[in-house]
Amino acid sequence: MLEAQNQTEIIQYVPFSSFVHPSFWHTLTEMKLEVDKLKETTKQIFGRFTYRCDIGSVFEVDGTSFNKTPHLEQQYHHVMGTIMNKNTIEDFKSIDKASLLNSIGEMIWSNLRERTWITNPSALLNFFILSFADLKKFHYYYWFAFPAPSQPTVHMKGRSTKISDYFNNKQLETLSQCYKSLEENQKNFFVVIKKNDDLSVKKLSEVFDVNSANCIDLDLVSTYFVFADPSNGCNPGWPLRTFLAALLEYCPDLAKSTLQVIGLRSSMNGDFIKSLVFSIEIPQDIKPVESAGWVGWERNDKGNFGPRLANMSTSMDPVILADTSS
Amino acid sequence: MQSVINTVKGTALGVAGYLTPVLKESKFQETGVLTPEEFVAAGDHLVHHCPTWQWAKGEEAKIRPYLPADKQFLITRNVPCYRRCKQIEYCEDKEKVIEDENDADGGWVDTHHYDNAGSPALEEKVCEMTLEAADTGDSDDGAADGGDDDEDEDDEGEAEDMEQFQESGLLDEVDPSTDLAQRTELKLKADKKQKQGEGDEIVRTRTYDLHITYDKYYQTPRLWLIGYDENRSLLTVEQMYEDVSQDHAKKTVTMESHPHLSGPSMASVHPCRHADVMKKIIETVTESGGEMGVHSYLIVFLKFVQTVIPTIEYDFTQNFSIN
Repeated sequence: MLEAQNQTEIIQYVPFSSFVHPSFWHTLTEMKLEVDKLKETTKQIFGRFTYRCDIGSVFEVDGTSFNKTPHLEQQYHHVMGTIMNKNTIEDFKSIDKASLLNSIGEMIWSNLRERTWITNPSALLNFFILSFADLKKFHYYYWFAFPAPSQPTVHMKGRSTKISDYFNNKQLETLSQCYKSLEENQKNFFVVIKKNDDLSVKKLSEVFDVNSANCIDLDLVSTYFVFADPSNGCNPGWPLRTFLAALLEYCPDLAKSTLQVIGLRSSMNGDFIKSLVFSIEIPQDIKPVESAGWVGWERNDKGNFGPRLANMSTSMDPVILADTSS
Repeated sequence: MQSVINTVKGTALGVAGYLTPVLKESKFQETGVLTPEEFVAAGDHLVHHCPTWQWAKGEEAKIRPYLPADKQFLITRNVPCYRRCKQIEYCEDKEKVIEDENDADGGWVDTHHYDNAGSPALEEKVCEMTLEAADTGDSDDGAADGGDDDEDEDDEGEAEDMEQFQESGLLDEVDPSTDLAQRTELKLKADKKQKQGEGDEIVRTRTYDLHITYDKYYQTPRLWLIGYDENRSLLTVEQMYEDVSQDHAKKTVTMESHPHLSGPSMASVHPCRHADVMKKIIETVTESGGEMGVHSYLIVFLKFVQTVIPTIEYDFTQNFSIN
């Protein structure tokens, strides 16, 4: 038993699974026909995920993804991402997916290395859609990627534990109160400090110094790194991956130490009792992000690495619509 | 045929709604309709008392000028629906028509009318019924299977096409830090399903997103339903009808286009009788010496549309008694 408790294994992040509402394709079509036409520019869009524990790691886009400013929703977080809509199926097919993801990753990373994530933690989240819209057949080919660096590899010590093993009800109550008062872009990643009976919620910018080259001394025993966790299983969700990479880049001194991480998961009524605490062991030799490429292409329904196809002809093709309405 | 009528009617009313001037003066007490301002006030009240509801903006291109930009419609997400409405047998003692109309198809049926509330026997009965329905593999389940099979065939057809898009040499393939357990679980579930056939899964938890929009033509709120199955795929219309009281399916619940989202038609509870029912309720409250404020409109509204979707368990934190 003791052995099992102390066993360390490579951490396994739960990937997102994408969900596209039909309204997304309708709006995309409208944009393509009326605004973009033959231009093949990338577009900034928004997606969302929930950290509610009964839903699972679903990442949604819909017609509102094309809004200029996202509308805030409780228990959901918005993620800014990019759609690259190709004009031809050949382009869609021939584009080098591995190097595409790596170049997106490099862009994200050069941004994160400026430590923008300390003041704006939402910058750690990202997504990408490669798509081709066959507007004659109303077939939409699409492939989601949730870019994350494949290195460094860290380990998880033992199993995840319930948050109530670490915090009492009063502290959990404080946590949810403080969480509510955080600004929206601070809600994805923050830090909790436990001192005796008191719990305090700190923004990343209160703990880390953007300008300092040295990592601030943190008492790792009383510090918990928190992320809004879309996963509902015993493994942490995908957003933790980039967070840890950024953290280790900022603070290489964390090598060989153990971090306590809270995967924040909300119940239906908004409490955090379903949250988990992960014990993350950082190896001695942390491989830098640059040493390896980026991962995050989503598998399709068959479990292969390939795009998915949304056939919208029944709801969009005027011929079929005319047939079914009579 | 009904759907044709609804489509034509829907289009005609879209035009009519465009032409109908925005209601300016409150006519709530006399006719049970709402002005957009009253809708917003009632919405604020609902959001305050039932925190699972919140305001939404919808698509920016579809913002209606008569409502505030950030308060276009109300939304509550991921409402659980644990059992199919049609699996609950309709017992006389459970139903009560709460409104008598001469009109042949009028009247709201309270499908969950408990005279002696919380009778445990009733609960048991419901459970038994669910089992039975599942055992005998009721016909519509079979139909749903058929639908699934068709889809599978389609999938396979597509898969052949899609295989040419498959990529190899991605770093993802060898990534040790990706959790694949969920995917395997899903696959196992699917295999199990195929082996044992349908009907064994008694509880299939579905979830619903509910929207309340303001219907400019009827000048009432309007409820929309978007259903998901346990694997988070969208439910078809036919599947959603399983969660609608059988008296209301296809008649009260119709497919129409959402005013704030583009895309195919969505299921909504048709608002043509809302004002009448509301007026009745206001009168009943007034007769019994009470007074119903316009701010509680949506809370009452949700109570009476619950008769249409009795198994979708959206949140009520306020009780409102009609009598």
